[in-house]
Amino acid sequence: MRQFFIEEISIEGFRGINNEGDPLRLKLRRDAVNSVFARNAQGKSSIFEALSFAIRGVVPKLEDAHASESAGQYYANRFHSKGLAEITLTLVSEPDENRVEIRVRRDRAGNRVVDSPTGTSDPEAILKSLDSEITLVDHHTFQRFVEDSPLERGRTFSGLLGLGFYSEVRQVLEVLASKRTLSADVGQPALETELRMIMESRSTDEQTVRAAHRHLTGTDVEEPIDISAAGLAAVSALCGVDLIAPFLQGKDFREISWDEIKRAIRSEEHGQQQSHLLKLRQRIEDLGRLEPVAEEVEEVEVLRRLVSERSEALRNTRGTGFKTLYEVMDQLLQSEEWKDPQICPGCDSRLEAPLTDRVRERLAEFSIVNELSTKVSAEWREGKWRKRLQETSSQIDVTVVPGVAEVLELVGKKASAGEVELGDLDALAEVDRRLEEARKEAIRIAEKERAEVEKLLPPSLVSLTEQVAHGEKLGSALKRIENAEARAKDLKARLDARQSWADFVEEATRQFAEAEVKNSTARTLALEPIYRATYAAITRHPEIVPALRKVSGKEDLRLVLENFFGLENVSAGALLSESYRNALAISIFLGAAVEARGRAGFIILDDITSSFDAGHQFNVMEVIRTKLARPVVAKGAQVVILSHDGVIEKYFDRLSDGGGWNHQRIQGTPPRGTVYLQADGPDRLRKQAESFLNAGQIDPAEPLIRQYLEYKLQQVIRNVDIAVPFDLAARDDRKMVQNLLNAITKSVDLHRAGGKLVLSGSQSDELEKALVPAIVANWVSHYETGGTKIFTPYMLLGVLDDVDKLADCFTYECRCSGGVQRRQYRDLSSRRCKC
Amino acid sequence: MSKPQATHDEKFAIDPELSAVENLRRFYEHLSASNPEYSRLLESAVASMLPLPESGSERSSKRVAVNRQIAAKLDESSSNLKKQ
Repeated sequence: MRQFFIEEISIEGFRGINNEGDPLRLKLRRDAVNSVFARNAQGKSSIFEALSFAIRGVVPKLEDAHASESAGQYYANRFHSKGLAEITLTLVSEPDENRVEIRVRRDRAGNRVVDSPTGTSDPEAILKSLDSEITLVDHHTFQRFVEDSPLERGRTFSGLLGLGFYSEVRQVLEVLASKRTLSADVGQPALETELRMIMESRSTDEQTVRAAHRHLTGTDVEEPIDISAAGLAAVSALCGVDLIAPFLQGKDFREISWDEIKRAIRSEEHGQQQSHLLKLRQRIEDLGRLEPVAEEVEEVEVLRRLVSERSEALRNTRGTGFKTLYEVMDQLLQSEEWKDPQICPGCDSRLEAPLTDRVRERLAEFSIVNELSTKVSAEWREGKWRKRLQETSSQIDVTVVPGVAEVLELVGKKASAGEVELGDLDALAEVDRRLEEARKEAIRIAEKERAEVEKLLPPSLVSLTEQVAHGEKLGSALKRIENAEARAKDLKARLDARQSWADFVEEATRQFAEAEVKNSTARTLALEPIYRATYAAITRHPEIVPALRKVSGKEDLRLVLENFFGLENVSAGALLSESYRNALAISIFLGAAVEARGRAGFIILDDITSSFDAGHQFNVMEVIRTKLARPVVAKGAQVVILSHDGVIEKYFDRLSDGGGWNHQRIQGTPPRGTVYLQADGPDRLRKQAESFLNAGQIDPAEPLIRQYLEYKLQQVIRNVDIAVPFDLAARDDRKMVQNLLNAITKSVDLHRAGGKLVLSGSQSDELEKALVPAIVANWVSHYETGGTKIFTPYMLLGVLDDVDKLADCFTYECRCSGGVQRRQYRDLSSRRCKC
Repeated sequence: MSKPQATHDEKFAIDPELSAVENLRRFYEHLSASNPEYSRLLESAVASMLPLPESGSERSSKRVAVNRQIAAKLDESSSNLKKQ
């Protein structure tokens, strides 16, 4: 896999780094551990933030800021005249050694623009590919990992091992496979309802066919009903009647015009009575079909149970007013306006637990009511009881049953909305009883009237009319059955396809989840010896053995201690001190970095040892140097360490003397001025200071002079191996020059007293009698004591010269190379060569 | 086209030597062995769902839209089967 390494970072106008017209350029090496040291407020954090903005598009500190702080205006350096932030990364890829420059800018309007001066296509895609959980790591990262919920920790961990994508795909599959939602989404209930209604209608039509067939032919229709055969039987039975035979012979039952036949019979005689008789027969049949059926009893029971459950759930809530309140609170708590979910928006009091969970619980109660209302509504709409009541009330003259229409309408509306109550159902049952009485009475009246009409008609015509009615019913029923069969077939095919799909997705999800769990478990287990060894190397405590525990079937990850001084499987969060919890997080992150890195061949670590003492800091750095980073680990990561810790800086400095460590210091005058590498510093500092002093400007020159003095004195101490007090780095910064001078003079005095001083007599005298007193008198009294004595620019130029002369006191003439070269002494008692 | 069959008996396993994207592609190939049409449909559906929204309501909206598309494809297939 192609990996990218950083060759150079260039920053201008971003956060604390102004550097207008003169960007800060940090060169990094692939074959070394890279470290960057800066004291507080010298721009170190701005480097980390610049990388975060370039790769991830965000600066977390600004993203997390409260909306009222208008964080957007703080990306660019506020003192840069153009307000344009620019970060350029020069990347080199392995194994192809391709060099890529990517420039990320943020303009005044807040737009992020990414391009490539080297013409690389899609530089944004390259940046995105570099983003992972272990590309940019600071102490917040570790703190969050330890303090996060098991779910969030699990997700972070998945990301560390590059498993985040699998987890996301699994979640997607679970969403798609969820039976509860899939069925509704693909319209399955509607199809099932339509199919059920078609089958019910078919059942009714088949009964009609059986009854009509028996009336027409005197025999039972063959089961299962063959449409064509039944139709043929009907036609054949009626063909025997001369009056209507011409309308039937040679025709399929689908082609017969029953209206023509009825007109023919009417035209014979007694037309009106025949029509009336037909209508009466139809009415008796229609009313007869509305007899209550046994299935309705169970249906009503189900409906009553659902209504009862709904009423109970409704009582658990506190009414619609509270629902509105909870919805508004939920919205507010989720928004950027409200940062702390443990503060109540209503009364500003601090709560024991986040309010979000409680609000969601309350809203869930309303969701239960809604679900039950939906079920009640569905049960009502699809029920046979409702249909029968409505049809009966449409057939009966409801004026004979006063109040029925109003009850039906009112309860019907409530039931359709899912808001009906048990009392309403009781009222409906009473309506049903009265309608049933009315129905039976209506049938009795119709039958009585039919008997009277039949008396007026000739028996043969009465009989023929009846037969034709049966024939028509049979023909219509057969047509409906035929149409229903086609539609049912289509519906079944669509339902089968949905079921098949649901089975497929369910099985695919199961297989993928199983594979994911297996892979994740294997990777976690593979990581175990690595992070355990790392933890042991950092803490040097063999009696503390950490372990990561995945919760089965979930993304959750728990931090436990498999062994804690003899205690087994106890909580890491509860028992470990803050620094050891951080050590655990570091071990896991570094372990993951050893085990799995993506496209980014580099890791940026910002102040990761801030919670450790010197000894543990050293252990962490040694782990990084020997187990993770190049060059010790041949195919290891390019590590870049940012730090402000003066103690660990000694370690960086010492290692940089060898080949495998690239240490740099930055300093400057952020946020207004320039941040630069100290290696570039001395000449630049001196030139700038001289320039200001020559122009008579003391104030801007002073900090530059201070930095120059410190640099030169530190250079002498470092190169000539002069001992300093161990707490020099922690002493008062304002007195640093004095402290450095003291260290040098004390060491020189010691060597002089012991007769070991390698400096020449004149060098020693000049140092003791002229240079040090001059620097102390001029500089220390003016700057470090904050005195108000007025110094001229010439005097301060003299201080610069004195320091150069002091540095020269620690050099000698070397003739080893043939010419004459000034070299620094190896230490205060020896030269670097035999000269 | 014959009625869709159950998924393949052989188990799918993630190959740690391959990238996540490559493993996902292998997963769809594995599913295609038993049902290529559904495998393609699933691949399209998953691609439409990614990245998975954090918000529940956005997630539901996406899910509903994707499942409706699936239903339309299933009905189209059924209809084509009928014509054949």
